[in-house]
Amino acid sequence: MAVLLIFIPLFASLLFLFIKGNIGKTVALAASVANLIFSIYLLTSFEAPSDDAFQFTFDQPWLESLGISFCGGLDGISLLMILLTNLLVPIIILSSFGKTPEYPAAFYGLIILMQAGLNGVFIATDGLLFYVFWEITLIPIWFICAYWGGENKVPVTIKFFIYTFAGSLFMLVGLIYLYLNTPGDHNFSWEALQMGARSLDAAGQQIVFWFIFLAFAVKIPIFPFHTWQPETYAVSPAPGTMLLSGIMLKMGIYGIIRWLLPFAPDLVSAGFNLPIVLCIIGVVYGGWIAIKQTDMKKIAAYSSLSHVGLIAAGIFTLTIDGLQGAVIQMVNHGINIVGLFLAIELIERRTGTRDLSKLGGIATKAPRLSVLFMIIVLGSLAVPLTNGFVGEFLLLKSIYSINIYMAAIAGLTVIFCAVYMLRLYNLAIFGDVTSYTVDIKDLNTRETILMGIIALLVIILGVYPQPIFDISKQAIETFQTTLTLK
Amino acid sequence: MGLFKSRKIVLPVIVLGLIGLLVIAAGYGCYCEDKMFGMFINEHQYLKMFDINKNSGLVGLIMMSGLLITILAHKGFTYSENHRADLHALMLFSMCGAIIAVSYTNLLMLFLGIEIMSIPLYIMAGSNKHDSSSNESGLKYFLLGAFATGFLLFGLALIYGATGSFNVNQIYNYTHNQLNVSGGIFKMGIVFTMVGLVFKIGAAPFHFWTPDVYSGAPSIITSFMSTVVKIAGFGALIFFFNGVLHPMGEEWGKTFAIISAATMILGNVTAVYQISLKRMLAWSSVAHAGYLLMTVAANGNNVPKAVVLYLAAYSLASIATFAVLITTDKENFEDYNGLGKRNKWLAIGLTISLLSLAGVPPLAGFMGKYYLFTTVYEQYPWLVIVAICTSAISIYYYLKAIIATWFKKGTEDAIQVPLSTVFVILICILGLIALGLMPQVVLDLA
Repeated sequence: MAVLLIFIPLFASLLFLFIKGNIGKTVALAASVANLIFSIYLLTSFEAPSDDAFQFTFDQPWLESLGISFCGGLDGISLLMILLTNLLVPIIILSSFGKTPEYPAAFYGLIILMQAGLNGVFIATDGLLFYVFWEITLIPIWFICAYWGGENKVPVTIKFFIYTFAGSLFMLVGLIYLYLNTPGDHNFSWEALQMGARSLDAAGQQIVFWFIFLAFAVKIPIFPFHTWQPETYAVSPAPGTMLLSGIMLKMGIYGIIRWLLPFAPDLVSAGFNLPIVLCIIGVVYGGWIAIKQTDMKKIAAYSSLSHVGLIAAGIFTLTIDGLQGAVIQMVNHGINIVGLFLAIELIERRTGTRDLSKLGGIATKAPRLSVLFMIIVLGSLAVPLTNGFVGEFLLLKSIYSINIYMAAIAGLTVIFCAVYMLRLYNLAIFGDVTSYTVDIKDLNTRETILMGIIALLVIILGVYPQPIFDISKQAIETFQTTLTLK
Repeated sequence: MGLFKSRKIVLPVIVLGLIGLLVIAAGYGCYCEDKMFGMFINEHQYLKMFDINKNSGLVGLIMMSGLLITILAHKGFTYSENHRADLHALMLFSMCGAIIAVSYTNLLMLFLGIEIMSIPLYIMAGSNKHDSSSNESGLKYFLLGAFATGFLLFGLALIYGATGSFNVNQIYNYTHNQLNVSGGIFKMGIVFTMVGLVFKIGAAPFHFWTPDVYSGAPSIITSFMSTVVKIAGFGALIFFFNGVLHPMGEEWGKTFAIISAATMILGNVTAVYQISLKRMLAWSSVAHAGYLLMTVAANGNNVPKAVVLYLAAYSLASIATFAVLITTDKENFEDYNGLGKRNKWLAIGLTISLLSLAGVPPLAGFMGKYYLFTTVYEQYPWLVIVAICTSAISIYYYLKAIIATWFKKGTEDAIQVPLSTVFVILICILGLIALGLMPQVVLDLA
């Protein structure tokens, strides 16, 4: 049944080949809202706890002789990712209504195609199918960034494409290696690959781990594979940046949980700390650089680097707290970062600049914008009672249980984040009015609703995050026990 | 065909003829269980000189590609309006040679097939008489090709000298029975044959003719060379090494692994620096020959399937790309600036076929590469790593063309695409998508 999540947007995106002009907007919004409604329906009929590992499954032989099938299903973690995706896509589409791009039909068609790919990534339970969807998402996002992007877009987006494509190819080799080690007539299903991984010796698991890790590390990105990210975020059009940071990055984190750790079980469960160290370097590095930036988009980009480093570090601790924190923080980071980029985009649309030194005094002129922006900034800061708090607390706690010094260093993220976020907010919103912000208008109704939804989510998920725990609890516990069980 | 000078009737007649042949071949193929490939050569006694069923997948592929290129020739031969019929006839001769070259069961037929295929090609490469690069291309191809043929013939003669037969069964038995054969003559023969065949498929270190000949020849001929001729060359090579010489795989496998790695690296790295799309395609065809040679080195049971799938994906994508090239009649990347605005569908076709060549899922090129890697990984993991790294390089130059089509500004006058070309591109694109989603169809053929 979950297969509809792929096919609704896929067929909708084909429609766009024959649409011209502004009607594309409406079609895109309708398609994405249809998806949202369907995924909410899935949420209501999701059983937690349940006897099955995956629900709403489908399984169709695809390449029988090679052991590849078109199969998928949802467990608690992937359901949350699906909800996040299908919630954010309509928001992203709506956010672009104020500034219609050139060739709207093509633009929205690509976004919807992207949505199909993203849903596929989170649904697939077959290795090759996962890989195919993983790559399908790259094409539309590349076109969006490279066609509708800003200055210097071509070299930057080529770098982005080649980086991610090369990383994915290494993942393909890792998957093929695992596949050739699966029992019997080789099979690509998630379960079979796991069995194959158990039969590998230490060296084999190292190969699998690093090959697959490379793809995810580039996508997330984890230090030192992050160099494509800040520039790409900066040149991309706002919807592209939101897709990249809000959803696409989660593909990498989700990939680590589902498609990396189970494939090197003995390796990761035996005090394997190198990835955690890399992640924590990213946390500090991203935060440090963000402080120095003057381009608002770059600040958000580096802050994202810092935040997701912490998420990934929490996953590699393999503790229940770390995994739970990671899952909850994936959702929250998606909402917060989209909110941040939305606020930045709204300011840029009004003033024509993202440079902090040219902004100031927005608070008096546009109070609604300022208040809603404040709530989102507080969410990123992980202030208690906003959504960031719970996740970040759990993540730091999990790292603490592994190594106290690492936790202390990773904890710097909270301080750094406070510095650069408050600096950003302070310089942009308060201070003297500049020539750029003299006649800035406050949010119109549509924009208020959009920002309001995000701000509301920030607060609701901060006060009452229990539903997320309930949905993902079973999946995380099964996952953790299978991993740590020898 | 050359006798009929009435230009209008030539194309439809040939197309109908080829379609008819394809239907007959397909119908015949359904009845015959005999879809054996080289590996199982010892289970078969080949008494005739050649056997089309032996390799029906590749024969079908040659006929399909030939058919598509013939339809494309409607526009492609406009440079030589007066000799349309002759060119069609030459192309048919060449196809005939290609079919013989993939279905030989006697080394004499291998040589004849390759020659029947090559001689019309020398003429066709130089057929644009008023263009000096076409002349250069024809001459270069002829001189170097004749040289390579000499090697091939010499090699075959030495093999005959050692084994006393041209028949593939007997040579197979000879290698099978004398695994520790240290006969210098026989090995010398293998080396010379290898040189001759590797030249034909344009792999390193015998690839130097490819870029000049491919970019000098008229585009329609280039599309023929990079598809039909390559398929035939690989068919011949694979049957000879993975079939006839299968028992000796240990000895020549490593050589092919090195040739393959060198070809992939050279082809892909050089393609990055090209400023002409056509020359870039020439170098990328060298690179693709490198990927295919990986399977020859692997010498496993799945080799034929992997090769047929990869060649099918590669041919469809190449034909579509060349169709665009022929329509615009321009060669440099710059000339493609703004193609997306001039003709949206042409640009979409070019983009899809280039992405398939780069191996982006869910297109056929990805499935081909995936199957190739899986086949090769067990024997030569390092070769797959080389292939991965070079694939990552290759994406750069394919993207360069895509970027020119969509993101750069150029002239805006619309392009008229003749119906025949539209048809060819459409078939290729649909084929690429269909093969990407259902590669099983082709895998069952081989």
